[in-house]
Amino acid sequence: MPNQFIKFIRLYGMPIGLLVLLLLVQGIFHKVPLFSLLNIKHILLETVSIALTALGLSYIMISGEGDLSFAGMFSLLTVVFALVSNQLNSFTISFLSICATILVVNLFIVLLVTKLKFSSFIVSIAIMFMANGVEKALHQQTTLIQDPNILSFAKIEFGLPLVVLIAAIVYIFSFFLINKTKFGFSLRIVGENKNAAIEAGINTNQMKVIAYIIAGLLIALAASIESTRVGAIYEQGKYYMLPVFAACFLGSSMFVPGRVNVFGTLIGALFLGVIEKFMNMISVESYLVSIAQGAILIIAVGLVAYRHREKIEQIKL
Amino acid sequence: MSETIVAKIRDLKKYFGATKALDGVDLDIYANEVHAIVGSNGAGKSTLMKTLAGEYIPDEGHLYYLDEDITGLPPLEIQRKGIQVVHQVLNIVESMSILENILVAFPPTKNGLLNWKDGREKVQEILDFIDIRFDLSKPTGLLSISEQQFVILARALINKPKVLVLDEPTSRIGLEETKKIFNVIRKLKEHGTTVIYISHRMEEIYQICDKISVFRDGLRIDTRLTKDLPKDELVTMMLGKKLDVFFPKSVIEASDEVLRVIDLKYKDRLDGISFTVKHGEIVSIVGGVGAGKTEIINLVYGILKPDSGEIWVDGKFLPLSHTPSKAIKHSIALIPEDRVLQGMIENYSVKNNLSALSMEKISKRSLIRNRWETNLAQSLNDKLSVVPNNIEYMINALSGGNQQKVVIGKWMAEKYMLYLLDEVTAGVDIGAKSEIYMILGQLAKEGAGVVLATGDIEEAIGISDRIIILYKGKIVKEVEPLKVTKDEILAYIMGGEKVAKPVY
Repeated sequence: MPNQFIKFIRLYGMPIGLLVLLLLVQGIFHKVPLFSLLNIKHILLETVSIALTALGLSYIMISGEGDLSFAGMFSLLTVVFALVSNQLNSFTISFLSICATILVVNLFIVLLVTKLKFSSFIVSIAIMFMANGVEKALHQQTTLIQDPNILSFAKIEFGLPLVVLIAAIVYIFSFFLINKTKFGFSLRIVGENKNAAIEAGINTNQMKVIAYIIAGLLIALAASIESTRVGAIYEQGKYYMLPVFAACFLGSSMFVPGRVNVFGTLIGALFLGVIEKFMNMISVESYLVSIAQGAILIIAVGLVAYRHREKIEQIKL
Repeated sequence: MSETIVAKIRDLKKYFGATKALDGVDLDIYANEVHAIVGSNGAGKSTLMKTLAGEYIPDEGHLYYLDEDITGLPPLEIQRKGIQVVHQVLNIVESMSILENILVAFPPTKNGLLNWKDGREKVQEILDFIDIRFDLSKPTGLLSISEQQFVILARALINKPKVLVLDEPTSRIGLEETKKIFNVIRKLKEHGTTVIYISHRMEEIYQICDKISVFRDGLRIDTRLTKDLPKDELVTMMLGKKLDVFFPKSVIEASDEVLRVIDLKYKDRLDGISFTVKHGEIVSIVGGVGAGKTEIINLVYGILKPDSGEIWVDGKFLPLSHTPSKAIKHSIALIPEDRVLQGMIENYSVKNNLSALSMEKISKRSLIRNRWETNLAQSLNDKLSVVPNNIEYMINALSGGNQQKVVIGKWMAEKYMLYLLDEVTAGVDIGAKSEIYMILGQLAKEGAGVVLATGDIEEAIGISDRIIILYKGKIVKEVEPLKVTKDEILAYIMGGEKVAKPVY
């Protein structure tokens, strides 16, 4: 009996703990209706882009690499989206052009990483700065999306906003892909123990290429959604760096300690979204939100290290 | 043994830069045989096996399997054909379950999705064959090294290979487990599988292998039937020269105590350990896996803190605040169990590793003087006859035996009073082993106390003045090598009941 209980806690402890925490917060500040239907809809809508970008980063991290380029690429993609849509007035073409943009960049990165054995982390930082530069060159002042059709994309609803449904479908698909298919299984092995993957006959380079392609598409999707939702471009990318990372790491502290996973990233993104919404509602200064998210990241990493430490001690003796 | 040739290796050459790892190897592998591959580290054994497995592509030469040319095929193909290699390094995926680890290469699917239930039966069959019990959903990272070894073995067996290569299968497991592996090998032989057995352990080879192929400097020297090859001839073939003295005769007049351990207790690992070591003595601590050898060593050195008990070194009491850096000041040296994780600095040169403890000696006003460092490292390198003799080489380019010599070497820059060695000859080839024994003999002669934790009973009998036998955290017996047989020690290691005949 206790064994089952321990297993349950190990597996679901973190997300349940987070939920309890949020309910407590709601309980304390009961004058602020955090979990009203309208608010939940807003939270979901505002979290979509972060959640999708975090999912993209998750694919890369599951494959064993790290990435910071998304912070620069995201802004760049929104600018490209705006520019293309203002010229050609089509959501589809704009979306496809930013897909092409990020795919070229990501394939470049994964080529350097797999064939030339560059550190993915360092290459991605370089790309981030380069993307920042290109973005600044492309837009001289705030770029506004002018086409009302495109702008209305964010407002389509089927009960829930369309973009939320899209994100949900993408997440569900990713969950099955990563956890229930042979591809996902192989990808996870590549990320956790490259030598074991080689011994098992897995083509590690191919796996990483696919991971980077999927990640690129997800970030492109996130950038399109954010562009249509906001309508104006400012440097969102830098602002996203922290919550996206925090979502992935927070997620990695759940279920299987230390491994980035789809469901965990989702919960992480939602949790951060709720915290941010809540802080906005009680009129906290926006910089405090960043501080809070940073603190959550430290706690998440600390939790992972704590759970990991037990495991390592167990193996040594 | 049959006359059917299952695999052929013809004129295989593999170079790494200027190093000739394989210099034209010819080998015939027959069905239904257990074939030992022996040789010093660097002789080419691992390279040969990796090439056979498809992980390396040979520069010249061919591999044949059942008359089919398999040269250059990728690992997955080679596995599908029926050749499986169990490597020395256990590449498990820690967060995944035992079931998933065993089926890494061929996860069962149904309609495109993973279906682990289908795999359970097959895996259970294999585990029954090996005679081991596992909770298949347990994360593999939580298993002991010994259990992980069996997971990797199951992984290889699940594809019913015709040729199974075992690379040092027993180096990390205890006696009970070794018995199981031997049973598996015997059963496989009956079923028509060939087992290739790579090991440094002579006694195991003579127990279980039909044939022995000796490798040296990238070439196969000869293949002989085990029964027609006496041990010393085997060693001579491996080294290319005669080995006169394996265990140095110790002519020590021991004097006063250098180490006294009183009633040491540590968690559930050690339950009241007391012993002494005198200056000039070599004392071995033998025991099975988990008996507590490493804990004793780590407690004396200060890595672990005892729950109760006392440690006295050269008449001085070591307080609870005892740490490794204080241990060095007390003139205690440690050669730890895992040379990669704990003993050497992996991505640094031999030179840097050798001078690692001698910073003050080689610096002037806090700046390291390169020439002093080079001189010091070179003299240590020469004293230890490290091969290849180039201190600028990265230490992980060296073979295991030579790496271990470097690990020991850095402690030779000074004279220490007490040397603690934990499995110092594990994974070390026979040539380096004898050199290490000579070094230990020399250290004892010069007055140091040497404590040797080892699972190798022959080593303990050959080199020590006294043997302390450990079982489940308690000292079962203290014996002198001349007054005891190997089987008696074995019996005590396994729990104290005497057996009349050999254990395998």
